[in-house]
Amino acid sequence: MNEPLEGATLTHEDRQFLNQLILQYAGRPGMLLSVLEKIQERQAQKYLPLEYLEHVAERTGIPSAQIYSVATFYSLFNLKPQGRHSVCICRGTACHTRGSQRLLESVRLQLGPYQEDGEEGSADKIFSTTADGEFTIRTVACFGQCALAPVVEVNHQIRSHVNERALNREIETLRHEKH
Amino acid sequence: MPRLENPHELVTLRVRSRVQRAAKPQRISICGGTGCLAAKASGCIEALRAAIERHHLSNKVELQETGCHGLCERGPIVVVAPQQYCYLGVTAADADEIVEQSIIQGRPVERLMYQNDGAERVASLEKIPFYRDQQRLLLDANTRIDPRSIDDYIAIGGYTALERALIHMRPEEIIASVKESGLRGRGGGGFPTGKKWETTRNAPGDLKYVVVNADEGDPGAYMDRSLLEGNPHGILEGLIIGAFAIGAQQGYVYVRQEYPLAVENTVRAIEQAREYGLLGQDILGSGFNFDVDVHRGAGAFVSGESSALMAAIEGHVGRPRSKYVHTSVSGLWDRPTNLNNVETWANIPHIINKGADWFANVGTKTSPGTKVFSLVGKVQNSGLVEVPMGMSLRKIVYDIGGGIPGNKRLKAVQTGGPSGGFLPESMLDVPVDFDELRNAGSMMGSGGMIVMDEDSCMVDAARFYVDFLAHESCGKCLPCREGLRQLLHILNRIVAGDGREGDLELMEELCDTLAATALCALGTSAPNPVRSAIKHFRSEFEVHIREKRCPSLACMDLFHYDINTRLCNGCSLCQKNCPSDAIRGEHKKPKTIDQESCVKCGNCETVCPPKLDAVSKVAGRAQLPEHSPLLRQKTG
Amino acid sequence: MTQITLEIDGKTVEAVEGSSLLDVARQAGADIPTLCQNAQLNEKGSCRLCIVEVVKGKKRSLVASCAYPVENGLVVKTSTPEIEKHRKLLVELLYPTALHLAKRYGVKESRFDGPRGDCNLCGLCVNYCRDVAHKNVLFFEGRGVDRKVSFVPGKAHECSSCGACFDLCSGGFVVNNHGMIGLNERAYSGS
Repeated sequence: MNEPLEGATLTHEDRQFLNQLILQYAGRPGMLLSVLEKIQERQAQKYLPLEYLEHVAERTGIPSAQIYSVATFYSLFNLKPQGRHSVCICRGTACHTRGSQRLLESVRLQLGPYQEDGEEGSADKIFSTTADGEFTIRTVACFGQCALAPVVEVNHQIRSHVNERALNREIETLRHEKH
Repeated sequence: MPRLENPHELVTLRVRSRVQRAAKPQRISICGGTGCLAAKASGCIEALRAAIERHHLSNKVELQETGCHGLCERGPIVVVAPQQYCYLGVTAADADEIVEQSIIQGRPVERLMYQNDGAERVASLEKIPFYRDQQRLLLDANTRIDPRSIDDYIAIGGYTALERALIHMRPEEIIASVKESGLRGRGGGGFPTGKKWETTRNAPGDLKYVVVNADEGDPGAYMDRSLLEGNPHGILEGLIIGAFAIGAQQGYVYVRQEYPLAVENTVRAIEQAREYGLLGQDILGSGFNFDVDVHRGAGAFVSGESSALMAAIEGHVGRPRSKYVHTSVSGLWDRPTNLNNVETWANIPHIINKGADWFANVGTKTSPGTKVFSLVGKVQNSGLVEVPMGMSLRKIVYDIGGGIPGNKRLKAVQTGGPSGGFLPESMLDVPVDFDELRNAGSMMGSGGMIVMDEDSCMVDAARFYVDFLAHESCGKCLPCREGLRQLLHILNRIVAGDGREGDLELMEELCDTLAATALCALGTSAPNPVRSAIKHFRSEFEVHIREKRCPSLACMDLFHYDINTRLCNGCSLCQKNCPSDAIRGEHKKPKTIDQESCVKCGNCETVCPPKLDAVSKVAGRAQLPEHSPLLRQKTG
Repeated sequence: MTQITLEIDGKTVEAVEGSSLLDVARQAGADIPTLCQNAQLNEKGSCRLCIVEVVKGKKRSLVASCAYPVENGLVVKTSTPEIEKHRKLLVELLYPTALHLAKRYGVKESRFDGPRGDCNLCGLCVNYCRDVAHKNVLFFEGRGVDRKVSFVPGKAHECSSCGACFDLCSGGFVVNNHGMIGLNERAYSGS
């Protein structure tokens, strides 16, 4: 019951990166958000490893409870590693009116099965990584591209007026891509 | 770039920039907003550049990448000056023709011109119905300048208002002018801007702040993004004037995380303004010091609420504060802070330059000025429109928007985002005005205007908003979090066919308590979509509850697909395309759908040959066999 | 300290500037229900049970008395049929936690059948752990309907030797879960 934290320990390089980052933002308002953003960007799998957060807590004196609170409050941050490819479906009102729910269903069916803990999803949203770690599908409340609805972002590129078949095809192509 | 030490140097720079702009008699402007970039505008830009060079016209033609032009549905958009030929849906392959015909021969390219529903083609921008009825006070600059060039902005008159305000007006006069103009907050609250400035100015304390709220979280709204992307200096100018009037020395622009181009353009604009000395110490020799920093959001709608936004800037979780003191008196770090929306700030230079009287005469008496709306959903010309307040919804949807595609009937227009309401067809003559919209049971909100047609289910629409709010709520207060949880649960039951008598009354009770007791505006206005949907479309809710039917054929559990065996010729196309093996019937014999296996994907209806048209969507649940596990699920 | 004069439930009351309406009203004898309020803690305004009616000039509004500072000339009513209606609904939303309040309002069941558990997110445990015990083992994870009380990964075991907040819990969550591994640690182990 009293297990210590699972997960890798920090390398010397990791520690250096974090300490520099903390110095860079020291004293600035909102530094925690900026630090967390930079940590996530640096990770190939775009997430916040727990051991990094613990180190930030130690160095800054900010209680880790507060850091976890911030990290889990905002949609931007991931506490679990993300898939190699990301598919993000906009669930804004204009997109919903023009059929994004259908797109979501279609992609969800196409890419299953998912990692054990990632099954949370409803008719409207999903945030799951495929069992093979290749794809993460998620939804966003609104991209702000409403006239081009429905909008889907595939690997950080926005696709507009998306139709189901074209999206399915693009995903299949990515699936068969070599590393 | 040399610093501008005084107004005279600014004037000199302006003259020089104008001369430079006029040096090339022709200009091609292409929209480089995020939307058009997604539609491959960058390919067009390169192709146009290459075509201009090929014809050796680089010193005669200015190629300019601008901000959002507004007619986003039909991008990429290219405008050729001076004739103002407006081309839509431009591709890289059109570049040569545009240069050869419009630049060299001075003729419009007909096939790229605007056309709607078989009517005549329209060449020039002002004559296009979409643009003709607008009053583009704020958006006009987007088509004329490169947002990455401060000189462009200065050339078209940018920073003249700053000069006038800083050098020739006193803070009290500026505030009086804004008050007289009648400008009301464009973020949704509609609070009188001048009054807010005055409260902040008069609040005790020497350290004050000004904030630009660019968090724009309403789904379906992207006006602020386009204003900030397309003309960041226009907002900065308003902000500096406001800071001077209020007595603030530091400002923040809070941009939501999902707008990287807006962040990029704003950061660059700030750096350019600093270089010119329009930000920093002793601006234009006035003795006024002011600087601005950009803050990025991290993906939380609720953080767009004033006190939540300030908490986020301070580095805390972006949750609204349970305080009964206005942020104008106690905001950032407990100091007087004036927060306004992007569009509000963008209006300020125009008020200073053209005068409060001029502004007060645009729009309506209680809602002067223009408003930018994002007109989206089931509408032909989806995009950003800017109209004088007081124009009717009907005119916006039909004259400007081009009406509903596919000859469908309009069902409702939703305004005000998740805090707003639905207006049915019978109320389409409501003028867009803060008070009129509120009296009609909706609200202006930040400007999202979603058009829904006969295929939209209003129960589903209400559920959509409640789901959004349930997950975007900060979750702190009981009525909002638990009230939304229960509202969502009831609406989920209803769309799944498990609605009960008394559900509507229960929802109304929840709405009452939520509206009366929630901690912040997200909670108190959360009932609006539900209440307005029930008010105008009650019978639709009742059919879902009592008859387990979705008349709009949208709620998956309340419609089913049916094959008419008299029309079906057994071609088996549907069977081959069914992802869940739900179609029964031997080869060349009429088919039937196994409703238990059907996942409602609709492939069968899509692939059935049009001359047969044997598959249709039918409202109501399918007849399931008595022993079906699907039936058991519902009554659990 | 400035003296403030206001009217509460028909009585004229004197108060010290900076006090909350809740404290002053209670001192004057009003019986205002609360759930998330605790004199040792700074956080306030979560449960909304303490709402009262305030008339200031011509403006009438319902405010959370725990967060509303006293002002001269306020006319306050701590209980009206409207207020009681809202309080009862809030208690129904809390059910089956906060049973002491359910008893007070005669709530024996809830008409709401959406999901609920043994935590009503009043925040007393989280705030106590942070502000009084200074242990920072508990935190609020997530937002909206997904908000929940969680244990900092690796620290859940500290609760067994502490237990200081157990008496504050009106739903049983902390008592039921303190011995376990940080509730969401499994999800965050990264593998």
